[in-house]
Amino acid sequence: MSSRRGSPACGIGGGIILALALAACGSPVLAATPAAHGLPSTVALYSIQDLSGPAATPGLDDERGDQLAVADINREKFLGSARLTISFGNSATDPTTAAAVASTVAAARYPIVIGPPASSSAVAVAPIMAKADQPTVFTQAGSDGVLVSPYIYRMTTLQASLYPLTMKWLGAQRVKTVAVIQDSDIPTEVRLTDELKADGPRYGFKVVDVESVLATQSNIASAMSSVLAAHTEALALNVVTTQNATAATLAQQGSFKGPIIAEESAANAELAAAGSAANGIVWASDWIAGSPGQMSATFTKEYEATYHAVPTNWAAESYDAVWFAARGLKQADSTSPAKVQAALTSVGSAGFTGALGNITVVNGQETSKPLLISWNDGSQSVMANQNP
Amino acid sequence: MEQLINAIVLGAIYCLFAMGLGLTWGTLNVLNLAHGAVFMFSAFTCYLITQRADVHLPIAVVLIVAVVAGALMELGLDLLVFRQIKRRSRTQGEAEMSMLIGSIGASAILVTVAEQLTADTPFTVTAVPVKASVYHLGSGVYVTNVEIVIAVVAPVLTVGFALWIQRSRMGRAMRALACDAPTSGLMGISEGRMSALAMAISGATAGVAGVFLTVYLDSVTADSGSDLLLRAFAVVVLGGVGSMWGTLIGAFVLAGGETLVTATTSGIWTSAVSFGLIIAVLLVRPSGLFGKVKGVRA
Repeated sequence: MSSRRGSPACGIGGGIILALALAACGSPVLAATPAAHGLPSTVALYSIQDLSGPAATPGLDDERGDQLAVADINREKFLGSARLTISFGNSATDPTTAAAVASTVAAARYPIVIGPPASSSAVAVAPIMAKADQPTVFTQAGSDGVLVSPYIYRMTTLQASLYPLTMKWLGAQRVKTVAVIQDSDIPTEVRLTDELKADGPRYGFKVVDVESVLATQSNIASAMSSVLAAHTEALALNVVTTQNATAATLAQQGSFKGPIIAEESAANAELAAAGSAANGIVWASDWIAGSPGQMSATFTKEYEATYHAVPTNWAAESYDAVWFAARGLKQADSTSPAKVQAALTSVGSAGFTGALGNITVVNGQETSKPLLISWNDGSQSVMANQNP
Repeated sequence: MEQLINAIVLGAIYCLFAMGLGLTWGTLNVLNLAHGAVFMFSAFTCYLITQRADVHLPIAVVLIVAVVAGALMELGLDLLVFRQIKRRSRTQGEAEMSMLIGSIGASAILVTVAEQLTADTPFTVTAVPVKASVYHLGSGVYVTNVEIVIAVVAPVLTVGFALWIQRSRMGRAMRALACDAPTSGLMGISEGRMSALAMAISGATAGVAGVFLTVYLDSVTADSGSDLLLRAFAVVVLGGVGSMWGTLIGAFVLAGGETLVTATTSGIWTSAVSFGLIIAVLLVRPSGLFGKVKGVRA
């Protein structure tokens, strides 16, 4: 080990300068002063997305959906002579980072901000945006503590609103008992389990066992063994990412043959690794590629041509979120926050058609018709019978 | 009975993963927190070859790829990060802290690269998911061929390695290095060569663990190493830093505790009880179950 010495002051000073320079590079620039009348030639939006960390999958898809929407809006000259741009900031699925980015963005006074998908990030961002009366449109972010102001909107149907369709399907399978494996550290998953327990009797079944794991836990074999030991007629998977495929495989290995339901996180090829073990798993979603509707088909085709990948529901939601923003700006014909907010509320109440289908936004919350989805032979598809 | 099988397999996974961490910590005083990322990136390397490059490989070859990838990654870490830090540090303590931070940085780089290239979606090591053969033992108990392989290979590797450390010339050299590096150098033991060997072995075991776990769980994500790293750390501390036998026993003790808690409660308390158990053991034996005082490690 050497004993080199340098001037501590130089090192500290250099470090401060470097940090400031890096911060300046990453900071949102000051948006144009809100225009009370008419849109400026360039309308700048800002999108705070979880581009890394556990929610990077939806975050990166949101980024793509946002960019595609902006390109389409400009190509169609939807805002007349005004051109829409969008910048991105990474909340990294970390509440502290999300709050820091949000503070800077709120001070920059963008006409509309698109918010991050992870509930943990969204709950950190929402109050800051609310305090600044900053019109903000979130996608996903289904937990409490997000719609905390009339300036905040959520362009994703809540899972709790989608889940009844799944429960209806399960009831139609004439099962009497259900066991659940859930991520106890994700509020949405726990809420879905509670919904299953509370409403199951209405559909003819009862939840007799609930096993909990953590979202970061890869090995869920022990919990699944406990679930299978309950010998129920059906299983419910309220877990995330790789846990869905692992649970499906363990269920097959344990000779479980009954119906299995999941929730939206089973979508988007999360079940692919389970192979045939995942065949027949059912869940409800607001959208998948192949959903009915002209706009859905157009969006899917454009996304595939641009990104050479199949779009996810996250991309579709964020696409519609930016179109919602554009509709609000067009109606307001202004970037003044109050006018934009009033216009967004009006557009949402009247409803519009997007990639997700016919959409309304009431009290800040988007609703669209849920779809029953099943996984078979390596892909997800809309079930033929949408009324089980 | 099924839970017993789960505990054995889980213990084997922890053992395989913790072995590499314990080796570098015990012999080189390097707490390599990039070990989890190396585990994941070894599996990710196999994904790149079998799916991105569309080169279909049998699982045995995939395993070799992961072993080589893991060994090279940790060797690279040693040459490019740890040795440079040691050279520039004034004291041993400063070096250890700096290497710890350096390993966190290296881990972040590997995880971020994998996240970006997979869009943080789950990935497998083979193009077609490996379908395990299931053997039903009656009364709802079953075991798969993948579980058998993990449960056999991990302890065999660990025992073999423990014996090698104890009885082979190179193993004795490593133990000497752990006791007193300067004196070992005077006795002709090359710290650089031993360091490289230890890191390469550590990385190779991470590679094995990466493939085994990915096949066992069907898939992993870029973040999959972080949860295991915490548990491996607990295993090494519980078993005693520098003791391979301690790692072996510690892994199964932790796995057994976790499985028992999961089986008897709803699972929420698993981590709390497991780590509480470790605290309790350390209060009675601060050096771990098989730990020795510094100076006679490994």
